[in-house]
Amino acid sequence: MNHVLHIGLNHYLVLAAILFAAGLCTMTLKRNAIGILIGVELVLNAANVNLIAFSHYGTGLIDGQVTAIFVIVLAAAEAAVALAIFLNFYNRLATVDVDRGDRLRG
Amino acid sequence: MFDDVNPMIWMLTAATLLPLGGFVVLILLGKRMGRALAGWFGTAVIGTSAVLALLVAKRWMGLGEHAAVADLIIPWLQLKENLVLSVGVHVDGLTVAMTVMVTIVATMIHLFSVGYMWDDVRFSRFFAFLNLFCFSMLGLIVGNTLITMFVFWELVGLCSYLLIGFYFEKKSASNAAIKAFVVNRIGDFGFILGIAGAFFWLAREASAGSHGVINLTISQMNHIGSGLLAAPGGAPLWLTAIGLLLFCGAVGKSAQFPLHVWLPDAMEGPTPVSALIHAATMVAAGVYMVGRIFDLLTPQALLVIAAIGLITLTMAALIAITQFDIKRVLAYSTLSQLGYMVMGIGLGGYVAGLFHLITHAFFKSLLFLGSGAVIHACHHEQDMRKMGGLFRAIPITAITFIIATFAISGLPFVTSGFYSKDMILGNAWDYASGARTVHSTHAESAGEHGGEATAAETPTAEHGGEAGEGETAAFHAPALNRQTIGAGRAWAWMFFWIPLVIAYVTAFYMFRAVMLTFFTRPRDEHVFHHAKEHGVPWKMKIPLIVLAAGAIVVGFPQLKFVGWIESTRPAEAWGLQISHAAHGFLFVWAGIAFAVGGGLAVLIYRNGFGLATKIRRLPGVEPIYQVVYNKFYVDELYNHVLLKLTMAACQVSYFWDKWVIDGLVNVVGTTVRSVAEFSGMFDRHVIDGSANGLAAVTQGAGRLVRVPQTGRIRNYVLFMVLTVLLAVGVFLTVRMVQNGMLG
Amino acid sequence: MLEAILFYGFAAMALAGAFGVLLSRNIVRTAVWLLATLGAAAGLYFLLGAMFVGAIQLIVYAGGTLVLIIFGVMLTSKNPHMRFAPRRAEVAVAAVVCLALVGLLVWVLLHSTWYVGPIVQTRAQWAQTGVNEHPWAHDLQAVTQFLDANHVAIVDAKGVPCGPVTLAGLARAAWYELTVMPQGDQGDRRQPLHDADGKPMSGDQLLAELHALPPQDRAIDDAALESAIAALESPDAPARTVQQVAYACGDADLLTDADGDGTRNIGLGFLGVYLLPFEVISVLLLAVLIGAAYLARPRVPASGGTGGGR
Repeated sequence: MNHVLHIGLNHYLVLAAILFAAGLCTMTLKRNAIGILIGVELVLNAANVNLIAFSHYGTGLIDGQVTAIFVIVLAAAEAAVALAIFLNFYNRLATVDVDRGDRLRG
Repeated sequence: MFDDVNPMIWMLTAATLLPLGGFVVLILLGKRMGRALAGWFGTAVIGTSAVLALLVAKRWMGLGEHAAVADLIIPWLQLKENLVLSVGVHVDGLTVAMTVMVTIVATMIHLFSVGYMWDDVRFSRFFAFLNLFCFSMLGLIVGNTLITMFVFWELVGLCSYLLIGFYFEKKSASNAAIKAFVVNRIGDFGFILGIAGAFFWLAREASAGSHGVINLTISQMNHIGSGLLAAPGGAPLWLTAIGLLLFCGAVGKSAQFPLHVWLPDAMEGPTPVSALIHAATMVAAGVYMVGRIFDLLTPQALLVIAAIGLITLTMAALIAITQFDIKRVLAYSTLSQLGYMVMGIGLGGYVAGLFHLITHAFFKSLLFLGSGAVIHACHHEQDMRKMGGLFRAIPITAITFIIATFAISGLPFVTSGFYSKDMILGNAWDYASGARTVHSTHAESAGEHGGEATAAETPTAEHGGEAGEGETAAFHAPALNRQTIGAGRAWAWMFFWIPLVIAYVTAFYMFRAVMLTFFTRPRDEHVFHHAKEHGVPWKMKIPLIVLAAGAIVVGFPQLKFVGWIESTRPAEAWGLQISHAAHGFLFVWAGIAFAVGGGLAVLIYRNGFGLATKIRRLPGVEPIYQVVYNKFYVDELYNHVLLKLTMAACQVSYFWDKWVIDGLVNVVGTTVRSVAEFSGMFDRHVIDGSANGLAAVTQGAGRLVRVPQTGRIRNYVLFMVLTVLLAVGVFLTVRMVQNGMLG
Repeated sequence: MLEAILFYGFAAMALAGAFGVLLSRNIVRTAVWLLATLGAAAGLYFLLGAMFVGAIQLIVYAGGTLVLIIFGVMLTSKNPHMRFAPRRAEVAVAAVVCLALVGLLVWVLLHSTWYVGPIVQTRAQWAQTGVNEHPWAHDLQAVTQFLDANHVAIVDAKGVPCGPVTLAGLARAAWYELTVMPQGDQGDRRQPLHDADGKPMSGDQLLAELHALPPQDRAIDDAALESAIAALESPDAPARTVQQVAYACGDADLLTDADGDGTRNIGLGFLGVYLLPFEVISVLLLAVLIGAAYLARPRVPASGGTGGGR
């Protein structure tokens, strides 16, 4: 019971792992390009939860928080670039179905 | 550097460059200027040049015996320490005389062209080319090295090409232009070889003899050349070669036998162009050049030159008798007169040849412009068989034409042609009789200081010129004649007798042309009426009148032309003096040439072609006539011989190709082929077999590997995760096995 | 107890959002589910004391990035309700793989020894947490020995002796010093603090300055400062460097977030220790800006109609 009520690092880590797997699954199953982007965001959030948790329970320094901020900023940038790419994709193929972009198929 | 340069140099340079500016302006803006402006602009430009040339002449005359050679030498290329290729301007009496002649004649031709070319679609371009032509010729005259001379020489050739082919829509015109250009190239090839040789040998000679800075101007070359010629052992053989090679250029440019074939065809150009080419610019260049390099010519080279001149003058005069095209008659007459000049120089008559060049320029340009006026009036009819009786229709043209005819036929005392031709024939007599050379060796054997000797002689030369006619001047201080080969020999007399006879022939064919054109009954009513109605515009009449005056007076010694030329005479060339014997003989026999030849022509052609046709029917005349009429078949000879030779060469090389080269190739080919077949079998079965097997294996592998390559990002993500899972799983399993946790 | 309730609430919300994202077929709804996850994550950050990061998460992520994604949906879809169903085989494989991943991750993290544990109040307790097996342990010990030998008490801003968490941070910083700048090196490679004239400050100067500050402006109280000064001024004290003084004085603001939300520390960190990454990220953002603008520029259709054009 102590382990359940006394929230520790492992609680956050397990939560992050599940979020990570859900994001990965989203990336794998969504055929909509935007859906894939959302999956990536989920994965990044899972990583962020890890970082903050380690920052709090681990070193006690601000390293984790700073890294998390970097991740957030990069996620925003990534979303912008990804959207630009998707717009191009859409302009070329008139769809956001990523399965249509299989010109590199072997 | 230029502060102390003689102002005459600037004036002549300006006179030369003005037509170039005119060319640039006309070629760029000509079409926008409109006809009248373009024509008058072109004329004004060359007119300004003429004024400048006359100012220089006045200045030169004012200097009198102090007139000294002015040179502007600009070093251009330092070849060695003391060897410089230079360019620049050279002013002496000959330059002044030539410049005045060229600019005045060219101005008249420009003025004439304003009227003659008025209806042409490329009016402004015509004037641009005319200006360029004048620029080229003036540059050739004032330049002081063979290099500048060659550059302008080629420019002259280019201009002749452009102008002869001016009506390039006409096949015959463009052919004639190409012919002129190509034939000139043959001569120019010799010329450039000669220039190269002259630079090479003379520079070597000069540096051996330490002449200070060697800049290889024409004057310096002549100085070196005369030194070589005066050497006791005689001139070296290479000097003869250089002289003859340089003369090759003159053969092409001045249309001497055997390269004379382009000149009659050049009639395809507009008539003013013919006038320009025949009188002032192109053909004059060759004779001028030979005169300029006189001291490089060995006796052997001079003899060849004289012989070429003799052949040309004879052949051309005979052909002229038989032609019906008025311009062709004049063209062959030009050839003949050029032959006189070349022969004159070849016999050592430097002054006589160049003097004839000047006088000829005036009356020949007058003849051409006159014929142009006739052609213009006759609605572009050139055939004399359709003319006749035009005196009544266009009297001023007829009168000026007749004056020119008198001049070329040598009407004694009053026409310029008489003086110059008389001088050539006199030189020929003196050469043939050999009287000259006998004294001269003693009289002026030490006459190396050519400049001083010339200056000293200038006043007497004028007297001599006057006295030449008056039979009073003493035959004193004769120059040493360079041309000593054959002097006094019997065969040398052909250089006197044949030209003398041709002088009669000249009078005959010129009067024939006059009779057929202006007198007798009109043979074609249409042509006659056209001439009567249209007449000749004043723009064309004025040049005719001016040139007619020139044709008469230019020979008078008071005009100094002959004096100017005499002032530049090389020490060993003949001046004005002619021996008494020659004078006495020529006074009678050359004097009556005009009357006899002309009278015969008037007699035969007084009623048109009737009597002439009867003469042709006499036994034995017709074959000769045919030969002459067909210009001695020179063109045909060239065609046949060259064609046959080329074809034969083609046949030979064809057989060589077919049997030897092809055979070799075939043998090699067959060998290679069998080797190739063997190698092909090996390839197909061994190499290909293994390659194909490898390929099949690769292909199969590729097919397998292809399966996961769906091209879908999503699948790749899945594969990635799977791989990570597997890797971590393997890693953990190994760790656990190591730690004994599993086992 | 409250912490547990909040954690489980936020966790449930995050998981619900994640599975909503995974299972929703409509892209707009997917985006809304993502919003839930992002908000929950922000709550968790607050719970972990990372106030600034949580705020950033809400403002930038939920506020900015998500709106960007919604824009993307708008721009790229004629019909936002369009669905592309994945194939069943794919679903099955993905489910298996992801479950395996979760299993593996959970198994690994539960079997790992993290440098965490119950909050220990005393140095003795801290010594029992197995930290001695940590790679830093040797240096930590060196630092603590040094501090002990000099009778330096590490206290936080409130005068309470530092707990091991804070001490760990301090130790890590010290380890940095010890590693990068070997002991005994007379400080030529260190970056000393500078006084007003730009001259390097000696330890004594720093102490004097700290002493001159009013108590509320410094992170060390008078008593601790006195003791630290006393310790450092003792005749057997080794050469004092600025760093040593800083450690000794417990100027822990740079090292811990003992002050509360730690926002100030983050700001100091960005302009201090993390300046280079910060600048790199700035340049990267500029590049992204240009790149995105380039990619999204209106395309002039080639007149010839090249292959592969739209």
